[in-house]
Amino acid sequence: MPIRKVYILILAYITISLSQEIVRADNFYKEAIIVGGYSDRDQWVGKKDKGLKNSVGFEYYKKFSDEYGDFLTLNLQMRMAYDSKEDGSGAFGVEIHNAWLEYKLGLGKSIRLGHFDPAFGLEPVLDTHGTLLQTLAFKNIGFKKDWGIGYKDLFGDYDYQLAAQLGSGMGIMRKDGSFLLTGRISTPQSRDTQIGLSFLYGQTLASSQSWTIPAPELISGNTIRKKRIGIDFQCPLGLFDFKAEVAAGDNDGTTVAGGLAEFGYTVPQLQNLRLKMQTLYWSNDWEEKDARDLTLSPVIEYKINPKTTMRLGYFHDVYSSSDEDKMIVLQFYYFGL
Amino acid sequence: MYKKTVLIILMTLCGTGNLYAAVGCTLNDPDRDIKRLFSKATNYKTEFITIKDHGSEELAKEIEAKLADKLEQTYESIDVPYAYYTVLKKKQTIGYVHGVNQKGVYGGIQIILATDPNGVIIDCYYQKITSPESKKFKDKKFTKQFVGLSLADFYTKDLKKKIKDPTKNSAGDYFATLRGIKKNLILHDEFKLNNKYDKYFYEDKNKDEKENKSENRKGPKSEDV
Repeated sequence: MPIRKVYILILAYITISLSQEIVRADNFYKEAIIVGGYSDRDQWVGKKDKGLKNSVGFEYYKKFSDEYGDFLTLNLQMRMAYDSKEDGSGAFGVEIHNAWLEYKLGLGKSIRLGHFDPAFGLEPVLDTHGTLLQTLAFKNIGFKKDWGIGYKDLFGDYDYQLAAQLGSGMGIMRKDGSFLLTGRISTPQSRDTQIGLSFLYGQTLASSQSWTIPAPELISGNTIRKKRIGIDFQCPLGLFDFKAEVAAGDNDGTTVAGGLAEFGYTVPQLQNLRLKMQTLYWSNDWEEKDARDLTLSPVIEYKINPKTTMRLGYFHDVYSSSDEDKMIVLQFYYFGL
Repeated sequence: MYKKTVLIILMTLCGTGNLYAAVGCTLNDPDRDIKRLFSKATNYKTEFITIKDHGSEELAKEIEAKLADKLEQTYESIDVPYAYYTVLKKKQTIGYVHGVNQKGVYGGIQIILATDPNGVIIDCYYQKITSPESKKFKDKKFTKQFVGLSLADFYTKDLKKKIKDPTKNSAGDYFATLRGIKKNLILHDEFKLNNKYDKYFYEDKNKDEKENKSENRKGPKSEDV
């Protein structure tokens, strides 16, 4: 039996077993994303990039405790997604976002196993799984989450985390010696001003699809060797939230670099309404002008009720390494009952 | 084969029942916060508790009566889970850490309280506040004034006389802070302290009713704390 079928059988078994348990549990959230828009390049679209498609799913989050306190945390977050750009059966897939177990070794010290954020940049400290605006992770690493093992601890006045992962992103595979090592040290997350310093070294795979089942097709069977250093920063600026990150390094010897800056503002008279503005720059070859992407993205976010948020975003490519595009996207996001 | 897996997941999702809504106020860095707040802590136990689980609409009405204000429908709905961190030294409970979201003038405020096992505040801080005068609110000179208070003080005293607004032009966020702390203590008393402080509320309420009858007057409710 091919390995792919074994994976599918194992995942189907785990899904059935867990679903019996979790639908009865308290910490179970339903999730749905309806997204659509118009793009100059692709006309009517039913998704925003690879990571945000029309989908339904759930998140299950549980802390296991005994009389000495918490010792284990489980997080499973899956979505069944539809890719409007694909045809027939190839248009459907299961995205496994979070799928990890974290065992507590002491206060501030834990080890994590499964599918989770690489320890680099803003992504591990922000929740972007349902938002139109993303961090630099897709451009920088190629994916937001990967399979592997992680460790985090406190170091005096700083927090740090390390991760050793497969370098495959959503898919569970290891080819051409793929791997990903990341590390991030930062000021504590409990402060409103945070700064982080990250490192990355690895050989990563690039996939055509951003889902776990069926196994995504690889763009190339060869890995790309990546080295990076990055700095991220978050702080309140008057009545605005500000966040930024920069990363630089090389891909197979070619210099790459980029960054993003994002402002957020809550309208005082109508606090369900938030306005955001993001600028994202990335260059896959610092020497080559045609290899750069610069996108400006204003987004309006309105919380319709405690469970449903509507987002309207405009994505304007000032430069693009492929065809420059202008896209308007409307999203309804549901998280709850 | 994967189509079958997808179908199973869809069927599972369609058949689900009692679920949660928005996420309440959790600590951004609980291990570090608890280590800082309780130097003798060895660990903590995390629980997510909703008003819906503890009495639903009836409890919501009781909380509104104790708070002397309505609960806000978007951020204070009955299915918002509140995170409770029971702080442990080995097996012994040495305190609690709990936070709430409170609507402020310029956006959501997150107020975190550390309390001893009897519900007396031992530390108070803002995890998030957006205000032109946020520094004055976050200043220890202001937040330290809440240390030593319990829900009994909020029920029986006019704390606006004791703890003054530290700002010039942000009275709205000052009242929001007092409301948020009181709401936090009311929920804590309900969820973890078995309504230990109810006697002060009902005693005070009875006293108020008597005074109201004798003076035959009604006071404004919006700024009552």
